[in-house]
Amino acid sequence: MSYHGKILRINLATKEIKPENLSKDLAKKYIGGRGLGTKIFSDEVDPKIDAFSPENKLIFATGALTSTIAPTGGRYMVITKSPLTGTIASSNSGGFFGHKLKSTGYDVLIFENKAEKPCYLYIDDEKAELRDAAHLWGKDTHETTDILMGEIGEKTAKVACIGPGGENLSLISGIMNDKNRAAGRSGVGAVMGSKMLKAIIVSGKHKTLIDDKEAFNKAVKEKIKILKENGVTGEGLPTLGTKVLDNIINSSGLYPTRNFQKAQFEGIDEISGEALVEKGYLVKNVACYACPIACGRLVELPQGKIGEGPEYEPGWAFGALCEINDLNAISQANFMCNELGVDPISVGVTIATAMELYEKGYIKKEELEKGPELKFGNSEALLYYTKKLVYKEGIGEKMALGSYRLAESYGHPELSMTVKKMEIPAYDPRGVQGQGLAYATSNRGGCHVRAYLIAPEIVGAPEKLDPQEIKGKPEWVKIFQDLTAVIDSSGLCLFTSFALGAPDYADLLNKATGFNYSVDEMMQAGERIWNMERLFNLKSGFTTKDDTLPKRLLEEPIPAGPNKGHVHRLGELLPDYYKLRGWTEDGIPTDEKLKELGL
Amino acid sequence: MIIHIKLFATLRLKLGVAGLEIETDKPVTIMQLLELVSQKLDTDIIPELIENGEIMVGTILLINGKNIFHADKLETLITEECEVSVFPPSGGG
Ligand code: SF4
Repeated sequence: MSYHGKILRINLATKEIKPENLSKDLAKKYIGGRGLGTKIFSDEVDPKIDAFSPENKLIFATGALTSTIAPTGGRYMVITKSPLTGTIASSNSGGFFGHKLKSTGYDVLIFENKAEKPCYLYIDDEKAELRDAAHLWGKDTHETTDILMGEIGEKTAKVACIGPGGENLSLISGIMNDKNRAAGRSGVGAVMGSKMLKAIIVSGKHKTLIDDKEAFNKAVKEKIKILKENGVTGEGLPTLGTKVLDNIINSSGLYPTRNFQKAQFEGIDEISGEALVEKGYLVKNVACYACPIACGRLVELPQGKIGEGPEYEPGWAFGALCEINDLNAISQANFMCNELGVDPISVGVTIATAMELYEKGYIKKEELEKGPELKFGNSEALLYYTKKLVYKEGIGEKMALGSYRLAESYGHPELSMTVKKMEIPAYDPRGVQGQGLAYATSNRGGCHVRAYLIAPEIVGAPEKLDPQEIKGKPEWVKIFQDLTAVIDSSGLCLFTSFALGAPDYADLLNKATGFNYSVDEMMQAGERIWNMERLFNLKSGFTTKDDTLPKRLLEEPIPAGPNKGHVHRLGELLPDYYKLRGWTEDGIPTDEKLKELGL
Repeated sequence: MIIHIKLFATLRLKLGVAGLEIETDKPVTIMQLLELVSQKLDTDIIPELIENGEIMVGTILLINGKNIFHADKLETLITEECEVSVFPPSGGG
């Protein structure tokens, strides 16, 4: 099997570090990454605990195909209880860290308890050591990475760390690896901060064993060919990155603008993916480990500052959602989020929420303490309030808790565009019914990468669905949710699914692990993972009432553009979705379903 | 009538053209429009969008923001002034 069969358990309070064996049966049943990590987590952690208590654990899990030559096989997953949502959190990241983590000889790291003083973990080929991190505390993610790389002196080592965002327990902080890649969402950085764990640095030379190497290499070649020949993964994503979506989504009339008050942005030509190229900001595209797609962007701003991004989502959150058409300011805000270790989607949405609270007179000018006005369109606000939020200064203290808690503190939670308190990304559900259902039922709250229905509903891959049609959408959402759980557990990037289908993933998994999944068995493993996450959330107190969207999206029609007059029709979709999942009317998995899935 | 055409993504970057207008006195299908655009630009853009007479996976053709896939596909008739957005297979986020 393509695992080393080893887990490392690190008790941050006692400093005890203990290797354990990973059972092959468990690996087969839960695949790896997100599935395996969530299984371990839900067996060991009471869903009712506070996310910042020492009882919460923080798991780093590599996938079955992580650190193989499978295309995009470099990803890892962070699993914990989210302080932002209270749900299970699993946050995924690319770059090279996941590959190096597995090269240490461990498949999974489990952090328990809390350290008394800042520390970091160093692993070099199975040798692991907790070290003092007093000198790193307060440093941003780029400085931290550079200092650690200098200290270790091993050029191939890779670093994952938190910035001041995570240290200061901002509920919208992430974990950064390779400087600019993020396990960004659900506030996983704050859990790491609460444990006083500043960083993990890994190096090693362990190779991932492949069950049938020759057949695997052949399958990998085939899949790379499919990815290269596909218009999306072979040309669109490499040339324009994710920001190619700005114009697609805006022209289609579902580009959330002015905190979802509108669905098209007049300033689009100044900030789109095309503009990033035409203005000469784009230096080159960059790739994660073993990735033939290379969707990442290396960008140089006119003042000489170099960084990565913005990707589509952050660019939108700081742009259209705040009605800002200054690409330079948007890019700088994105760089700042990477350096300070906060989630740019959630930060942008939170600033837009603050702008609407200000517009409506709920946030008073005096509260801004002479800072720039929180007006839609005011680009000065971006950097200023991102920083305030990270350092919890002035109104930043409330903003550090995310959009929902900010709006709630002024008595207007309805102005927060969140699901389960997590900020909704860049597609207005009123213009895309399946994606809206996917947001409402996502196990980690407002998120587009738990089921990316934009692929069929807007882009037309694998086939084109009418975005306003509701018939058949619950089926599509279920299949996408289950398949995404498989991809996340394999350690591959979701973007491969524009070109690859379920049989391709089963093929790669089987040749690497020797597990011989049929496509149905593999999809059932995805369904098992989905239901296991659901059970965790139900036990922690979530009910069907939480499977919803903000009132604005259910009741206020889109005012203009191609989707004028539409709302999201969740009430018609949700009962069918529950039925299809084998859940009761209250969204609880039935005993038969649990038995069928072996849960 | 005047049809306003907007080109995006790799098509726009390759041709260095963001938009153009086509004037016609009779209704045209999307397919005919793409031929007129190719003539005007002196570059055949059809192979970037269409394969064996079918809209390629990932190609997006919108009339006033509405995807022609859910109308009459390439036979969708344009009868009045409108905006047509043309995206070659591009991507997602
Ligand atoms: S497609 Fe983009 S995000 Fe995915 S692995 Fe490749 S470079 Fe990384």
